[in-house]
Amino acid sequence: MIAFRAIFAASLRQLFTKKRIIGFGLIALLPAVLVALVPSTDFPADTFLDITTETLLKLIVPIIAIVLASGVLGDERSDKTLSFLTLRPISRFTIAGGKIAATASAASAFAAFGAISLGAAYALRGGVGGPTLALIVSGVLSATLYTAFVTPLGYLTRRATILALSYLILVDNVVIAAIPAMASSSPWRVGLAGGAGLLPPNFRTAAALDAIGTLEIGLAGAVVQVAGTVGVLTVILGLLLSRRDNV
Amino acid sequence: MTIGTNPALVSDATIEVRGVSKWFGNKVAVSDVTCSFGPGITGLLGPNGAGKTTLLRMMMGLTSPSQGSVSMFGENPRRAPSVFKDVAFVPEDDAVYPFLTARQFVRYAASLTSSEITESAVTAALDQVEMLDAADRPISDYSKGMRQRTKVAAALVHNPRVLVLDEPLNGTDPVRRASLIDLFKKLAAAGHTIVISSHVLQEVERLATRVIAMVDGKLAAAGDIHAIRAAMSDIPYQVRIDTDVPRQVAAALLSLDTVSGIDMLESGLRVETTDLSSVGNVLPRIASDLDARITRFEPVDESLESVFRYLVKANR
Repeated sequence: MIAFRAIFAASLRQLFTKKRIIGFGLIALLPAVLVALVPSTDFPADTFLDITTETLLKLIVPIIAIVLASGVLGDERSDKTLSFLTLRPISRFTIAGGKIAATASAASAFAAFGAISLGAAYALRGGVGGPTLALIVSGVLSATLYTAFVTPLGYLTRRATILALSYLILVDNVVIAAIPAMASSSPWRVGLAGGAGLLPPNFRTAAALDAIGTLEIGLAGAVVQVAGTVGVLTVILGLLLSRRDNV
Repeated sequence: MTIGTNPALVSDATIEVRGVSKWFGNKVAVSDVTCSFGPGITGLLGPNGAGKTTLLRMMMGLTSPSQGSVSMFGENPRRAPSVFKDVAFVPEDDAVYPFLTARQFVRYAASLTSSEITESAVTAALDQVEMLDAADRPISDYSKGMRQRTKVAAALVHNPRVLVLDEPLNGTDPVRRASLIDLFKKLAAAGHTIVISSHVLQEVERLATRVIAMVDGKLAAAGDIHAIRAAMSDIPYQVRIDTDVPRQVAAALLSLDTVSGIDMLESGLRVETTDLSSVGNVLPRIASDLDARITRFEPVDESLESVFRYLVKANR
């Protein structure tokens, strides 16, 4: 547990550079700025959810999570610091778990910041109902899933960012949009389905929720899927760290 | 060139390398190397590209051998991370986190190795490499030598029985270099196994009691440096003799079958011989017969550099 905590803490410091905090913080703030600028006297819930889905969930959270996750082990490889971790009397699963947990936490922090600022902008515009908690949950679940997928990819290839962004643009936002039955393969849709159960009643009929396709609305199901996926991908990453040359 | 029986192996081995080869595509980086390492300092020597780093990485389990096997304390380090309770590696690369201070870096290493390492052990490790003064500054501000010493401190914090160092003195200034050499010697005297890879021959000569030399991925020689030189029977020794009557001494020495050539120098002569002791034995008699004063009799090519030059030449 001491090793896990140490890897987690050091990885957070590695991920939260000043440039990233400022850059990703500003990017996460964009949807709130958009909400603040929309020329409307009354602010309908479905418009708000549309903006949230199209910006924060579909683009900003995935991009931040992908960039952070592709670098958390990829940078250790390119900076030659990976041997510092692997030549220790600790399980490879501890390294994998610490890295994924730290990256998910960092990406979730940016997602939560974006969600909170969105909720605040909505409230300032006189919006009815409090969607902030639902947005935070959606953002955190979605960020966690993306990081769990991309961290092993970042370890395997230097092109992880390009590959994951390609998946996001082509598969996540085009293919799955056309085939709703594949929605469970879309991290942001899983996040949206998980958070949607916490939305106030006036949001429940918003057209943006159609994006979740065949997924069931509800926190428990989404949490189980995220936890299971993170568990499986942590094991896969641990095995990769054990078997692949750390060159 | 003939090397004695199994000088590459030691009886009290902590690290064993058996028939190890590694190739990357068509390029053979290490070819069928068998050797072992035990308490004391062993220098792993070779020119750049000889395969030293690849061999070290296989020993540490960072790279899997294409053929053969490696064990540490009888275990495969790739399958048994627990061996790293007693093993530490200092890589050649700048494998440090620039956003940490040296103290944080050593503490991080400690927390990944054992829950029993105290803050005083962290301080002691930094003190051993003379990094206490700068310990609380970010590593990004350090010179190359300071980063090297920080890596060594992180390797020493859990007092490992085996310490493997890849070019550990790179970038260090002469004073720190001397103190690091002293530190490694003290650890070796205390029974630690220390493997030091270097292409700087003088460093290895000052440090190592035993040498493993690699050339083009192959084991070129192993053992005590003098024994290696003695085993190279097909390469004549060079002996420097200083005398007040060099021409007469040279003429007398040329009558010996074992002397194959003599160069006249300003204050003496350099003799090439296949049998060092025959020259040594006959010299007092020559001096007596010629009433010559011999002020120096010294083999000049027994240094590691000379031996190594021969090895590289012989293996190419």
